[in-house]
Amino acid sequence: MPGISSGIHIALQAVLAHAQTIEIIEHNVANANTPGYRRQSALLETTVPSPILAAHKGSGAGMRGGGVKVAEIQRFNLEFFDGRFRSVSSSTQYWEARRDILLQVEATLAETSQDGLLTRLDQFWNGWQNLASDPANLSQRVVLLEDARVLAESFNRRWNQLQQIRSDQNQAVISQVDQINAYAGEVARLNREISRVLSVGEQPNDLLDRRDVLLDRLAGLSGAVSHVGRNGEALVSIGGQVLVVGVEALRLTTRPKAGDPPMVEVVWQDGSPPQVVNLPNGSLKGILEVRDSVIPGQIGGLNQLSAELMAQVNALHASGYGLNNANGLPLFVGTDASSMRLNSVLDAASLAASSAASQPGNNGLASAIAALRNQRLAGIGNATLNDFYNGQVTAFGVMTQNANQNSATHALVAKALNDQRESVGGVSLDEEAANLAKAQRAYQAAARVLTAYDEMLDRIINGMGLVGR
Amino acid sequence: MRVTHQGMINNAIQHMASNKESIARLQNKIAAGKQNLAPSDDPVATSQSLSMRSTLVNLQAYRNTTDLARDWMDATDFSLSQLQTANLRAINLVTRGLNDTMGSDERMFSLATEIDAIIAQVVQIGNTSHKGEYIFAGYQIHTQPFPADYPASLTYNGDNGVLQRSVGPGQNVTLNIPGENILRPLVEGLVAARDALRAVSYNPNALQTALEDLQSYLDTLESQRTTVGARIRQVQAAADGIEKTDIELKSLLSKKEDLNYAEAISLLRGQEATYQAVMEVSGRAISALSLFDYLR
Repeated sequence: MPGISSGIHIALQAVLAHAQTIEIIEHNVANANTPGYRRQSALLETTVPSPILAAHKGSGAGMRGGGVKVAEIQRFNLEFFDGRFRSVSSSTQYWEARRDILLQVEATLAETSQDGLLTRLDQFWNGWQNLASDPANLSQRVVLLEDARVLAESFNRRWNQLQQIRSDQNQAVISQVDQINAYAGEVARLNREISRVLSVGEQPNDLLDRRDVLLDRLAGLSGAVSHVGRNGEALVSIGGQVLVVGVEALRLTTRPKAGDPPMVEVVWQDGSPPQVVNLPNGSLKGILEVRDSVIPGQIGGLNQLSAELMAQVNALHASGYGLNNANGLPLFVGTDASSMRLNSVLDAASLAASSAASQPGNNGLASAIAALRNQRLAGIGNATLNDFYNGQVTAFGVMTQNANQNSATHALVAKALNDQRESVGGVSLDEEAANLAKAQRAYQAAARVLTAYDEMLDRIINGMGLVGR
Repeated sequence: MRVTHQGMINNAIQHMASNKESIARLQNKIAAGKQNLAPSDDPVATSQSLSMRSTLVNLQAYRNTTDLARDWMDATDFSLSQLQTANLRAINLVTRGLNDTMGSDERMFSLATEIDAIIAQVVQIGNTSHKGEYIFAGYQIHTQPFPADYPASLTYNGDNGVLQRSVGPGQNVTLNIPGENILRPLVEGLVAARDALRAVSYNPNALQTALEDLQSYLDTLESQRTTVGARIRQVQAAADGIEKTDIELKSLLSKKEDLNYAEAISLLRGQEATYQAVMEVSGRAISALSLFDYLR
């Protein structure tokens, strides 16, 4: 026959196990909205049954149950989903970073507005065409000078704003490198904790949640991939180079880029000489690409356009004669989109419209410059100046559209994967409520059993041996 | 699939956000009246509409040019018609002078003096200016081509510059008629006629020669007017072409760029209805009761 004390023990274990289950439910409910939290649940199992003592042999069959215990606090996570999610999320962030900057550049160029460079260019050509139809008209000349000045300023403004966007993105690079370093350091610290907890046979569930969040972020920033080793430590690497190994985190740093001084490049801090970080994906790669190739491409196009425009217009203009027989003056000074200015020596009378001296009615030069509008120029690939820039706008539009669509597609996939993760690891309050009710009833029942034993003991201690008293 | 509360709320938020984004986009399009707000919305259409807009701006300049050229040519034509009138009047006078019933006093004073006046008038016509520019002076539009104090001998201060205007890509018209070729034979003919009238002895042969000169000059003027008329028709044709291209391009551009309001507003209404439904559903998803509210 079982002893009373072992019965109390079973009841107590049941009370404790269910209390712990309730505590875990409480933890789930409390973290229902915590990003990265994975739900946990108490895995109950029977304790090791004890063999029946020799004295009781024959009194019943089998081994005697010893009650219940919490075997493990299980963490619900789909490990193999993490890798896929991170890979898609780093592509998403790459495209999103690209898209965001490209949209900024597109807004700066404002080509579809009245302020577009093509609009200004057309005004400039019209100015010459109008001057050609009335070459001695002073007010026409004043208007044309203003058109030319506005055109030069349009080039200057675009050049400056593109440079501004570039240096803003440079700041973003520096701050993202700081973030990567901070996250890597934190992952290394968590690695230490996690392996310690695991080594004593416990479950570092909440620490794992926190590390997963950091690994998600690292993947988004830099395309880092991670691998969890046997001892629970995560090995993180970027482009094949280790970022975090065990409890050590390597650091990234920035250094001025050769030949492009205010801009920085991302390098590994250790190593002589420091190696440039090979970023496979992530927002940092997106930013660097736009900063180092897309925007310089746009600036290069502007420079090419302005240089060709200046070369053509200046050569013609210098060969012409103003109303006051001024000759040999360029219309614009400068060499590229940033330095392009209207020649300040020019005034309405010295603007050249005539191809010969002392012929105020001669519009040969103005016509020649107006005709440049439709002229295919070898210096810009046999296109007209308008077509050249139109092509650049279109190519840029296609690039932006592409980034837009790619970021949307990748975001959808990332969302679907995240939904899967969430569906396995997220907290469902209904489920928790049901589990709570279940655990609460079990707790009440165990407590009731304890009460029964209490009454039995009471009977034995206070009720027995009182016969005849 | 297991559905979690956080998942539901995230979904609800995302649906609201994407619906709101669609509404905002439609509102922007309607406010701007454009199908595409940025090149990236439709790069190819943007490229086409940009070059159409360039062409339209270009047409504006050509239209300007045709207007100005037309004015100038009309002024030239009017001057030529004045010269014709003067020439006819001179022919009339010389014909009367040929009539030998006329007394030499009358011939010398009344007729010759009137021819003198015609010479002055012709020189004045040669100095016609249009908007402050002399139309018979070649390139020298700021220089009076014929000194007013004729007649010693006719000097021409202009040049033989040919004013060209382009009224379309590769379409040039000549604007002016250099005055020397027009004025010199006429003035010389008139002077010969006047001198013949002034001759003390009646000289029908000289008068006859002068008359024939003046008559042949009528043909010259007529052919010049025909030339100017042809140019005016050329400019008019160019202007008509510009007008037609302008209308065609504008309607094409409008098809490419302009928003179909009926469609956009219907879409907006539809989107708003969807948004309301999303709000309704999301409201429930977010505030929805859980089992906790029912377990006692």
